[in-house]
Amino acid sequence: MPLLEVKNLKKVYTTRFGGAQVQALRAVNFSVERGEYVAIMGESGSGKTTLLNIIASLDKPTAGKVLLAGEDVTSIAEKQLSVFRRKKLGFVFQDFNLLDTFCIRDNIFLPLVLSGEDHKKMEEKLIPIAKKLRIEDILDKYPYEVSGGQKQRCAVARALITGPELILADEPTGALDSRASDNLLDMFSRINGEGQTILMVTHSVKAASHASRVLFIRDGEVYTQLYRGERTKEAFYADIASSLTLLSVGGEEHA
Amino acid sequence: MRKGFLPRLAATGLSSNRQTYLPYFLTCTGTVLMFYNMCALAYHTSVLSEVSLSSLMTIGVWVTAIFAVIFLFYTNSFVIKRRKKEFGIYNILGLEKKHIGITMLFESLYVYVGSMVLGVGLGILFNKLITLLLYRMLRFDPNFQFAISLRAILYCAVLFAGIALLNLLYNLLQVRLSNPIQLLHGSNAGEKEPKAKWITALLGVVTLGAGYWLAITIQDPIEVLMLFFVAVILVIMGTYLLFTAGSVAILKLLRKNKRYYYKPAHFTTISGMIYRMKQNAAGLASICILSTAVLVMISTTVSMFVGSEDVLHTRYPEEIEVTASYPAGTEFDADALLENTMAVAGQEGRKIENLKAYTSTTVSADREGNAFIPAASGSSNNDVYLLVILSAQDFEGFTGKQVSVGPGELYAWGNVFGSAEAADWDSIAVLGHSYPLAGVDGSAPAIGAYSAWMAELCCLVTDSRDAVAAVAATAQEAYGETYNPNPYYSRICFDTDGTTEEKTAFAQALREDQLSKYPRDVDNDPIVTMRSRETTRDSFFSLYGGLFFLGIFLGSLFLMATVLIIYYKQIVEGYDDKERFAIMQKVGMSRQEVKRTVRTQVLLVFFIPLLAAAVHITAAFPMLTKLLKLLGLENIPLFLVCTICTVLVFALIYAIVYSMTAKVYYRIVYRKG
Ligand SMILES: Nc1ncnc2c1ncn2[C@@H]1O[C@H](COP(=O)(O)OP(=O)(O)O)[C@@H](O)[C@H]1O
Ligand SMILES: [Mg+2]
Repeated sequence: MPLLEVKNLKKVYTTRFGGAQVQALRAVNFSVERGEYVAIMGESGSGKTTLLNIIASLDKPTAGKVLLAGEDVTSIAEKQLSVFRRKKLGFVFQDFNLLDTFCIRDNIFLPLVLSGEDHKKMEEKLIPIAKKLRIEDILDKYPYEVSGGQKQRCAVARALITGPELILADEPTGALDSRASDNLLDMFSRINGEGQTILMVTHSVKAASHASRVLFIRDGEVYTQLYRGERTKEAFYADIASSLTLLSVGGEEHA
Repeated sequence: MRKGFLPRLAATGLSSNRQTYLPYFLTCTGTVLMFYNMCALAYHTSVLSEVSLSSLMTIGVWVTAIFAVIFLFYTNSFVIKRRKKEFGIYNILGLEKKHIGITMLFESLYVYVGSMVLGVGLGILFNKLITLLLYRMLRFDPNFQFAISLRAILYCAVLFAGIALLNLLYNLLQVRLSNPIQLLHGSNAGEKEPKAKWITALLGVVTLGAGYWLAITIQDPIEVLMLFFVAVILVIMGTYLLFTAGSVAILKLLRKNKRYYYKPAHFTTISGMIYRMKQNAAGLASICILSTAVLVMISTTVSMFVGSEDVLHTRYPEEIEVTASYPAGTEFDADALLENTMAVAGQEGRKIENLKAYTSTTVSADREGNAFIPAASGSSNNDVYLLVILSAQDFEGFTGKQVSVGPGELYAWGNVFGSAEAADWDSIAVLGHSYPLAGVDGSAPAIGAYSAWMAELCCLVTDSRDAVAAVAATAQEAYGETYNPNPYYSRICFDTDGTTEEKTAFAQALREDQLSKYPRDVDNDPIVTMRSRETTRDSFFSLYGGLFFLGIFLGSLFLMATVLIIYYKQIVEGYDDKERFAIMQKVGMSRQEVKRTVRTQVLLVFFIPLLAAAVHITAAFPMLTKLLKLLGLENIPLFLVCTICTVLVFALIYAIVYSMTAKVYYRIVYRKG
């Protein structure tokens, strides 16, 4: 059984005053196996964030299903939702979403504190993760005192600390310079190498080339997908780039 | 730039920021309304000048004006903080700072004109209402002439134009000082975590402690009067210091306790409060001080009003008091005055009861050991003694007690004679003459008419009126020109039988009789004066009714301010927190947890100041009872009940505002998932 199954997902936004309707997702179908590292690409406004939000149970679909380890995410009751999110999912956002009111350590602890975990256990869980992400030295600093790359690694630590089944990342390199991006992508590869499943939305061909599979979204549907297989990162990069060119040409043919 | 673009931009700015501007606008309007009324009352309500309340009202005008400046400045700073981002966008889109400035000018103008028109309009209506109430309270004829006070409108226009200008300058400075990027992030710039300032916290404890100590330990009513404001200032300072430094220190201690801190309910609240404590603290301290002011003002004025009959009796222990002040060696005869008074009573058919009649002279003096020496002019008031000197015969006429005093001796009555220092005195010196003591009484002299004096009283009893005259002559020599020209004081006081009308008629007959029989002195002051409890009652109630009214009025003004400050604080913080709560919900905070956190946070912000205010008023209670005693209210249980009721009513209003605020706050921060 795949870890994540997305079946016929549809999302229509209705603007508040009842006027125009926007179809963000029409019929999205795909699945993710345990241990996979999947990138989702598509142009701006193609519905990537919408898709991720629905998988994350932050938003409800108009129709369709999202199964995580066989459980239907869309039908979880409001009361259990936050617990589900805390235990099963980890998030990494483009704009980090760290809280200025907490030091880095407390930011990372936040989901554990919400779960009512014991303070000693939290510290034990933090040590290996902080080491892996090389943030041991900045744990007592505040988000506004560290660089963007460091912030994003802290956000990754926060996502990892609950031991989630799936990490969801929405353009995690979007606000980083190229060195910090490379750094973060290496981390993702390493984490994935240890068996962590990752689903990442990205704009960047380079970011996508780190993944084991790339899904392309267009017009609210999965248009095509590429497997990396045994290829090198560089070869995969070239493939993705040419697919994107095709995709945009195809787009013009459609029009 | 097209003409008319900026004014329109300003209008759009106001209407699209309704949520922050509407409360601000209403605050301005409310303050205008209050100030108009205060001015109209002080300068335009003739009834108040009749009962000499207008000077009190003038103080009220000043208090309201100062308050309006501080309060509107504070609210404005909230508003501008919320709008920095918008101005940043205008700036980036190519609107010059000059144009932003003009836009702001138009905005202030709109708010100013709007709030003036609405505030003065409503103010006039409201003024009509309170004037009616006031007349009723002061027991005046309600068929009054009601007028619109142009002077009050002018004062309003000037004051609020000044405030609008001040705020505009502040806002311009804010925009000027920052570049577009800072403006864009204006309302959520990463503020540094405040440091815990232990020394400041300690200083706060010391000042607050000193204020409390003064309030609780001072017994002497004169010292109370002098030190009341010192205590108030100490407490205000202490409150600000403790709230600013102490709160951070306590919160950090709580955070150090990991078992406590890493609990869902405490985690976000404590960190959030530490983060915002710098701006929070001053606000919380202000709320605390305002609440205390409201509580003190309302509880004292209410109890004075309710207890005014008591006060009347304390101030006028006897129904009628006839007094005369005159120089030595005149033809004035105190015994003749008494006979004359009895004669009028006989004509009016009144029976005289509880008669007291005596003549005395008073001398003020400093004291060195057992010697009373001439008071050095300009010396501090602290140790001045007021010596009331009278003969044994007058002493009996006054107190009903007999003392035996030999020629050249003195019987002494006063606190100082009960002190350890005086235990071995067998004589005292008065202005250079030594007198053996015939006996002493170490209690405080209860000498009705003098009880409100601000010096320590000593009553000295001689064997004869001649001996009293001798002391007066010595005093005349010692003080020369500065000596009281009318050193002799005769007092006759008594109750009468009869109905209120009969008593009033008698008082009037007595007054007319005295006016016809007794001349005025060289300064054209009457030698003989009389006071009657019945004829004083009306003006007395006017005074207390007016005080009551003023207390309630200023009290509700401050209450409104308190409520609005809290509301504003929470709304602004709600917008600040919106982002934070959104993140926490993404990370897995549930709806219940959001609700619980909001409730804890708002509850703390609300009730810490109220709690502190309650502690303040408890500490102030002993001092306030003594102040009220100076004003003639000795009914402590009454004051206690009034205070408790005031606190309860206040807490109730407070709780209502709390629940409203918590709801609005929750609505702001909770994002539907
Ligand atoms: N809350 C919303 N209400 C209405 N329309 C929305 C909302 N969120 C996104 N959309 C629309 O749905 C489409 C997909 O948006 P999004 O998922 O954010 O795209 P992406 O992340 O790929 O750039 C866009 O056309 C966007 O305008
Ligand atoms: Mg997006």
